[in-house]
Amino acid sequence: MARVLKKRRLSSGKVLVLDSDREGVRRLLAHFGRLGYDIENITEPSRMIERVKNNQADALIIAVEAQGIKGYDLLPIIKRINRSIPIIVTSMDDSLDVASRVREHGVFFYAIKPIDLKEIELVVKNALSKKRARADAVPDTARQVAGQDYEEEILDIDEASKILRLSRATLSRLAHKGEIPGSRIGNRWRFIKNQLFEWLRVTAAGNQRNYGTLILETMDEGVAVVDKRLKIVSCNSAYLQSLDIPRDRIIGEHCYRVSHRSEVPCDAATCPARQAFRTQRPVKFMHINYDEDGGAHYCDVVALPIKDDQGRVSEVVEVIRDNTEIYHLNQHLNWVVSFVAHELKGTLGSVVMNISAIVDEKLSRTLNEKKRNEMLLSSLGSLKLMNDMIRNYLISSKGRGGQLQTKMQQVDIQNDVLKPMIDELNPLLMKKNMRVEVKSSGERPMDCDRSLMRIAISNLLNNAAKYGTAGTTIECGLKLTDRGMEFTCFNEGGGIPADKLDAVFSEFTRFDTSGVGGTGLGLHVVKMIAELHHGTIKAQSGYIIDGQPISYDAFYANEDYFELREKEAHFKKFANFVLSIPGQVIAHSGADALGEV
Amino acid sequence: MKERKLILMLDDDRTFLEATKLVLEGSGYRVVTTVDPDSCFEKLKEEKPDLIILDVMMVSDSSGFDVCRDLKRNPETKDIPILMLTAVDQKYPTFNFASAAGDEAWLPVDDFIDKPVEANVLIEHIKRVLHE
Repeated sequence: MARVLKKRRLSSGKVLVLDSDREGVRRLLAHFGRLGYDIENITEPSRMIERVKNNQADALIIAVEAQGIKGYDLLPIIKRINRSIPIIVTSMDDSLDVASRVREHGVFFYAIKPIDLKEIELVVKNALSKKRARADAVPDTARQVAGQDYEEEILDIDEASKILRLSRATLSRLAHKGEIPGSRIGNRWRFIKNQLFEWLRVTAAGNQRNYGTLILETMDEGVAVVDKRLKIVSCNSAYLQSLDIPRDRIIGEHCYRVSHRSEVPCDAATCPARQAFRTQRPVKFMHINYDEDGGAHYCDVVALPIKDDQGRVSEVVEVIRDNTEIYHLNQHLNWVVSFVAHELKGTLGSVVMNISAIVDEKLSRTLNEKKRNEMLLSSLGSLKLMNDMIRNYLISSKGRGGQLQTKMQQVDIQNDVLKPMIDELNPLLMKKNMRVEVKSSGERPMDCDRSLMRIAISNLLNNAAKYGTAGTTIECGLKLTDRGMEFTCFNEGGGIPADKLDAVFSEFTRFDTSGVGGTGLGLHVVKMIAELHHGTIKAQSGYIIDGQPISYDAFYANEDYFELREKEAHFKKFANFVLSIPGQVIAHSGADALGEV
Repeated sequence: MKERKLILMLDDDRTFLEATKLVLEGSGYRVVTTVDPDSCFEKLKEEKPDLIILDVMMVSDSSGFDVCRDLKRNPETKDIPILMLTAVDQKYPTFNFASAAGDEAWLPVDDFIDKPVEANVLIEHIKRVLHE
């Protein structure tokens, strides 16, 4: 008895299946048949359209691989006839392309084959219950009116050619070109009456195609037309793409729900559409819109009023220009400018303090000659630091803009690069009582850009002097062979954290907080110069144990150091940079990269 | 003999600290310097200074603000005058730090000077804060 009741309850909806996979259809029919559903196989797409048109279906299962048509091409036709009928689409193709084609029409459920019968059973059950709930809510009279509308809407080619007064051949050709809206189902053209009238209205009115729509489509910016209720009545493809929402979820929806994901309209004072309706003039605002993932988009919104015959604003065209990329670039630029300005101003602070004290009559009397010399030396060091900051910033900017080029020439690295750069470092070395020791091998000249190589070596030496422990020696190694150059720069000091050995070459990166200053660009510039020469730069760091540098990797991997781990906080640290430039380099064309630096 | 007043200077620029220390010592002050905000409080336990000269942007963009608020909240240090000496207004160009100086909740400092500053101007400010 219970079984009969169940069967009777479930058979209250008609399910149609369209699929070219006979075995799949047989399984579906058998499964749903056993459950007591009224389910039927349809072999022709046109038959399915007829059945929907005649209100003889409550849910549809359509395969993308249907007979003679791609299932998703059928969806807009069916949706036109009956927008609320639940459609379940199945497909053997699990590609994103097919999924997006299916989903843009707003289907009830999309399943990839092989089908899980239990899953489809649940989906069909839900689909039918929703369909019933909607039907109960719609009065019969309304359904009758809707039914009449639908019956008039789908036309075959004979009916359409009568309305348009075109021959079947001409109509078929224009529809094929996409100039007249129509869909080819199987071997037959189908037309939607309302669309034909709309086409006729637009074409006949000006004896021309709907250039307005075409122009909107050519625009890169998102464009939407909003009515007085702030509902979107039309939009172009760029608008859909910018919001990543299918058209059927936008048309008829409130603009604030779509673009701001908000349940309430924007404030009247800052809403471009409301302002354009009120003032009857074009207005422009900066708006923050949100995509489906909650990402903020910084947009310029221009609202342009459309006026009717009486001069009243009937709709507003909103042109939305997404400036998010420019906004972020601008933010970054502001940050860089303020960061560099702050660092320069800070460095200038010690120069102004020193020089102003020396030239002040009263204060200078309190300074003996030794102190004055110290202050002058300190100022010279600060000015050199500022010069290096500016130089590194300019090179970094050029590199980022792809404007940094090399002027290759034969260079004596030892005498023409390393020695003068060590001499330049003297003020800082004297101040910190440090010295530089160089061990070199090979005297072969090197193919490189001399100016850039000087900057790379200078930055490495500067880095070692700035972060090196006062009173220690910076150890440099220079190997010149037929295979190229290897320059190493070793200093005792704070070292580099083990997890930052790669990050130390990133732009504006500083780890040390011991007060040596700098923009965090020096090592980034070394990396840029190394790469321009097809070379590499590597950072190494670790502990100095019994006078020997032991890298972090070796320290943690070697069992001999196991007992020393408790004391690691007390060990001295080192940093070492290895700059390798190959001997055979490809020359770049262009002027000396440092012409303006 | 009159005891020399002690100034504690906290700044992340070691070169600036060295230069200013030379100038202030030449003008008769004792000067203790540190680049680390945490060690500032350690030094305060050793000896109470007559004045604290404070930078803003050290470990973070605002660590100087935190330090001055902590100092003014602490009963043992709240009476020590603070002179803020910094180039921070470069980062916040629309904000007037000099006029906000003295605001108990936001910027509880006794004076504010924008870097760079000339030595004699700094000394004038110090004398004013110390009522000399």
